[in-house]
Amino acid sequence: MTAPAAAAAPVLDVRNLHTSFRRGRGVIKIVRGVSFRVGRSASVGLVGESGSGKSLTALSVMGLIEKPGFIAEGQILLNGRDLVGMPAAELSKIQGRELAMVFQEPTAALNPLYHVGKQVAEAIRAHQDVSQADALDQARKLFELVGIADAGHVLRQYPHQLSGGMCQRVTIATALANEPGLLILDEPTTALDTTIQAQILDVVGELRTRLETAIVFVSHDISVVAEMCDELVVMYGGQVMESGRMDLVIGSPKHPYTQGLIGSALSVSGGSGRLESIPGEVPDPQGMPPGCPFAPRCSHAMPQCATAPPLAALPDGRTVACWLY
Amino acid sequence: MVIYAGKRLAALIVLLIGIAILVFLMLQLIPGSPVTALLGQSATNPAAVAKLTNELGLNRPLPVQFWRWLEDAVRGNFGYSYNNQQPVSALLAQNLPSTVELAGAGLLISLVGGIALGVVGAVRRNTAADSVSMGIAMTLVALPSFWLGLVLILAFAVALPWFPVVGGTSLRGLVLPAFTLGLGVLGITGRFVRSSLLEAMHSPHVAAARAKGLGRRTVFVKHVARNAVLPVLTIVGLQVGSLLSGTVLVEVVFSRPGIGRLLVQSILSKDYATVQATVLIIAGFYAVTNLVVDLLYPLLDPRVGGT
Amino acid sequence: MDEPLLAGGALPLEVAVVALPDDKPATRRSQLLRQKNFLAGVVLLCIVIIPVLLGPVVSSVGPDVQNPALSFLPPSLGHLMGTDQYGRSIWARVVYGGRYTIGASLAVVVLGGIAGTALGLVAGYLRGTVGFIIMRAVDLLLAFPGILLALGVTAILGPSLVNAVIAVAIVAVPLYARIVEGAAREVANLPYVRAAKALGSGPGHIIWRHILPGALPGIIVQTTVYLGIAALWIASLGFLGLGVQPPTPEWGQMVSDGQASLSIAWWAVVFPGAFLAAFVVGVSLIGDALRDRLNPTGAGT
Repeated sequence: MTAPAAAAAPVLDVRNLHTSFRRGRGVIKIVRGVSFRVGRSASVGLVGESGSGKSLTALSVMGLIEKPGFIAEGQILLNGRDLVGMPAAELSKIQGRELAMVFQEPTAALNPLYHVGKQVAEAIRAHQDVSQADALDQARKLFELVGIADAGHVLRQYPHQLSGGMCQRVTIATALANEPGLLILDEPTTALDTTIQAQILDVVGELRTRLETAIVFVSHDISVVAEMCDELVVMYGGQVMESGRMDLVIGSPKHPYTQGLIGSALSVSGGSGRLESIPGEVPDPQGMPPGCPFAPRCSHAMPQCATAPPLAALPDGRTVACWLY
Repeated sequence: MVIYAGKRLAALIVLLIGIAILVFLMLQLIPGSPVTALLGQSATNPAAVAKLTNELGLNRPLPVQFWRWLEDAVRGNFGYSYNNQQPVSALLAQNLPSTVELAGAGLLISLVGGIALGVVGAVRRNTAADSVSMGIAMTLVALPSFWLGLVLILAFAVALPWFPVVGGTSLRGLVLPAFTLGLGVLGITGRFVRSSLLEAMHSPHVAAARAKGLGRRTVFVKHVARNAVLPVLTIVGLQVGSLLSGTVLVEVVFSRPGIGRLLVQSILSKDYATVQATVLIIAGFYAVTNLVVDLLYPLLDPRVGGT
Repeated sequence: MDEPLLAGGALPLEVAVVALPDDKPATRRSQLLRQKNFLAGVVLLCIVIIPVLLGPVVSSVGPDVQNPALSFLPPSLGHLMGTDQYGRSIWARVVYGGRYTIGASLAVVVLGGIAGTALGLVAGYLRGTVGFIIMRAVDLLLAFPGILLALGVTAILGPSLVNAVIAVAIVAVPLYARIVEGAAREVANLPYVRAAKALGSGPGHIIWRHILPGALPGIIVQTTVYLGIAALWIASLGFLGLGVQPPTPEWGQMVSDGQASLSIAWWAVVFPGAFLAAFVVGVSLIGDALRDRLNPTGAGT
C-alpha cells in the first residue's frame, strides 16, 4: 500500500488491529482497526494527537499489552510471523532482537539501581551467548555509535548521573544492540529540551542511514515526523485517517483531519500568520460515536459520515478513510 | 559516602546523648529524692543513704551528676539493684541473650510472613486473594499481643499440647512467643511490601526491560523485586523498634526471661536503677539499628549517599 | 511468576489523558471496597460500643458482684461470657470495663492530640529556632520505640489509670506533632496563605483560620489510627499491672486476671481481649476508609 519499496515483503504488516481495555464489566476500545505496513529500511511516521491510539498501537506491535489491556482482533505480522497470540516465551525471543523500542521518558526507562552499561549488556546477553565482559565491550562500541563521548566512563554511570539526552542515547544504543530489523520510537524527543531534541533526531537519522533499520516514529508533532520519515500514517480516534508517502501527504493532504494538522503545524512554524486550529476536542474512547471518529469536528461532515468510511486506496499509492473520496 | 556516613554517625551520637539525658532526668523526676528512689526498701538505713548520696555526688550540680552517670554507664556500670542484690549490669547480661533470641526469631517470622502477604497482595491485586491477605494483615496489627499470646497458648499448648505453656529456653519454648511477637509486626510489613511492589511493578523501566526481550521471571527479580526492596528496608528498621518494645509484653505473657520482663518487674518493684538501664539499652539499640539501616541504604541505592 | 505484569509504566500520555484504563477499575472497585471497609468498621464498633454505652441496661448484674458459688462458670444463657474466679459475671465486667479502656483511649487521643497539634502547628508555621527545637524534641521522644516511653512515664508516676492515660498521651504528642508539622508546612506555602500573610494577618489568626483547617484531614485520619493504638497500649499497661488497679474492670487488666486460670476458664481471657481486638479493628477499618476519602494520594493502591 505504501511506496514501491514494499515490493519486497514488508518488515511489519499490521492488519486490522483492535486493542482494548477491560474495565469493570465493560470494554474500552482504543485502537479500532488500524492497518499499515512498514517496508524494509523504510521510515514511517505515526502521527496523531493525544488520544488517537498511536502509542497504544506501538505498544501492541511491541507486545507490551497486558491485563487489563488485550488485543481483541487483528494481526501483527513481523517478517511474516503473527505476533498476536504468540506465547510469551517466543515473543521474548523476538523482543529486543527483531524489533526494539525507544520510550518517551529516557531516565524513567532505565532502572535507577544499575549502571547503564549493565543495562545495555543485559539487552545484549538476552539474545547473544556472550560473556558479561564481551557484552560490556559491545555496549561501549554501541555508545560510540550513538555519539556518546568517553563511552568507557559513561558505561559505569548511573541513570541519575546522566542528562536526559545522554539517557536517550543510551536507550537508543540498547534498542540497537541486537541489530533489530524494526525500531519503534515512541515520542523519543518529547521529554527533552529543543536543542537536545535536534541532537537525538540527528543520531536517529544517522543510524538509520548506516544500519538500514526500518523505523516507526510515533509523535504528535507532524513537523518532526515530516523531517525524519519518508512515509506517514495519520491516526485519529483509534483509526487510520490517511497514509502514504510523506511528500504526497504533506503536499496535498486529502483527509480533512490531515489538512487541519498540517494547517496548525504550518501556522506555528511561521506560515500564514493566523493561528489555525481544529475546533472541538479529542473524543473520549468510551463515548465514541459510530462512524467516522472525526465527523463531529469535520467541516465537511455529511450524513454519510455516520457510517465509518473504509480505508480506500488512491491511484498514487496512498490510502484515505473519508467519504469525500 | 564517607560524608554521608559521618553525618549519620554524628546524628546518632547526638541522639544517644539526648536519650541519655532524658533517662537520667527520669530519676530526678521521681517524687522523693533519687537516693530514696534507688535504695527502695533500704532507704530507712541512714548509713546507706549517706553512702549513696556521696557516691552519686548529689551535692554537686546536675550536669556534673549527669556526666558521672554517663561515664559509668558507658563503662558498663549501671548501679546496683537492691531488689535483686546484684549489679544492674549483671542483670542485663543475664537477660539480654534471651531477648535478642526472641526478637530475632520474631523478626524472621514477620519478614517471611510479611513478604508472603505483600507479594500475594501485589501480584493478585484487586482480587479476593488481595483483600484476604490485606485483611489478615490489618487484623494482625490490631490484635493485642498479650491476648494473642494467650490465645496461642490456649490453642497450641492447652488444647493441642504441642508446645510448653511456659516458654522455656528450649527451641520449642521459643516458637509460640516468637510467633506472638512476629505476627503483630507482620501486618505492617505486609502492607508495605505490597505497596512497594506495586509501585515498582508500574515503573516505566519494567516495560522497557520487557521490551528488551527479558523473560518475566528475570524482569521480576532484577527490575521489580530489587527496586521494591529499598522502601521495605526502612520499614524493617522501624519494625525492629516494635519488636523490641513488643518483647515487654510477650516475655511477661510467656514468663520468659528477658530485658522486657526485667523492665516491667523493675517498674513494679520500684527498682529505678534497673529501669533506667533497661530503657537506655532498648532505646539505644533501636537508635543504632536505624543507623545501620541508614548506612545500608547507599549500598543498595546509588542515588543516595552522594555516589 | 505467572501473574502478568502491567506494561502500565509505558502507557503513553494520551492514554493517561483519557484516564488510565488500568487505574479506573481499581479506583472504582476500591471505592466500593472502601465502602465495605467503612461499613464493616462501623458494624464492629457498634457491636462493641453499644453494650458499653448501655451498661446497666444490658447487664443485669454489676461488675463487682461476687458469688463464690458461681465461680468459673463457662458461657451459657445465664452468663453470656461465663464467670471469673470470684463468680463475677465476665459479661458485666466487659461491658463496664469498656468504659475504662475506651474512655481512657479517648482521653489519650484528645489530650495528646490537642497538645501535639498545637506544637505541630507552631513548628510547621513559625519554623525558625522554635520550630527546630520542637521538632528535635519530637525526634527525641520518637527515639523510644513503642510502649517504652509510656513504661518509663508510669515508672516515674506510679501505676494508676490516670497515670497510664498521661503516659500514653505523652507518646501520642510527638506522633501528632510530626503529622501536623508536615501538613502545616505544606499549607503555609500555599498561595492564599502567603497572601493572607502579606495582607498583614497575625500568625495566630492565620494558624487558626487557614493552617489548622488544612491540616485537619490528616489529624482526623491519624486520630482514628491512634485511637486504636492508644486502646492497645492502655490495655497493655493494664495487663502489666501498671494501669488500672483491681478490682476495677478494664479489658487489659481482666486478661491478666484470667491468665492464671487460663486452662480451666478460657472465657475470662478470650472475651475481654476479643472486645478489645474488635474495637481496634473497627477503628482501623474506619480510619482506612477515611484515609482514602480524604487523601487520594495515599499509598493504599
